[in-house]
Amino acid sequence: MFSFFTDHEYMPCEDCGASVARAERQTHVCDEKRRLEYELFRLSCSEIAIFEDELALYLATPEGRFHIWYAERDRRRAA
Amino acid sequence: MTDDAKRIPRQMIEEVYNKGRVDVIDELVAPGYVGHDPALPQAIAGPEGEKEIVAGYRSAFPDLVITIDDQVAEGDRVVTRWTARGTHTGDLWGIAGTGKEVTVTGTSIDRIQNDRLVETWSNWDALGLMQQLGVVPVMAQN
Repeated sequence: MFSFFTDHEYMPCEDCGASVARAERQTHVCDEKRRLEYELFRLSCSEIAIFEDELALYLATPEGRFHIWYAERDRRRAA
Repeated sequence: MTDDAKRIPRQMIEEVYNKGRVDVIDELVAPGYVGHDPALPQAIAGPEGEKEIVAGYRSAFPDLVITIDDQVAEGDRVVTRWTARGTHTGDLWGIAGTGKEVTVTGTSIDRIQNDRLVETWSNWDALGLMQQLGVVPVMAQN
């Protein structure tokens, strides 16, 4: 049961993200440029996540709450 | 009409989906168009609805390329079997870009009237897409 959930015909390579067909999995060789781009993309995603976590923590501090209030005040004055 | 009818779905794929020329949609899609896709929460309504869908997919997969594997036409209907490939770098239905390249197959049946698409029924490998993006786990083989 659920055997159709296993082993999709195409899966991204874990190292370079390229879509690799089942028949080519044993022979697939990562393209170095693609591998570096994939690695950079993953790093940038995690850095963004870290930034968002840090921003959320900062906005929860008294100083952060003041900046939210001040920005909202400016927005309302401009409207 | 059959061979001429194949031209319209082909143009939708090659010009609109592959090149992002959403302006061509107004020429190819009738105002009352309805697109049925079980992967979407609601039917695609008219040219504007189709533009939104194309923009969404191209934003998630900027290098999207769909190839036509087969086409069969009869009467006012054209069946197109296709393969889509692209790299997931933008948000897709709330799934942040993963950088992964995916390959997905599907089949669409288009109904054509007066050289325009009036209705489409699509079925494609949405589960396979989710597996490739790592959203749905692939069970280990025994």
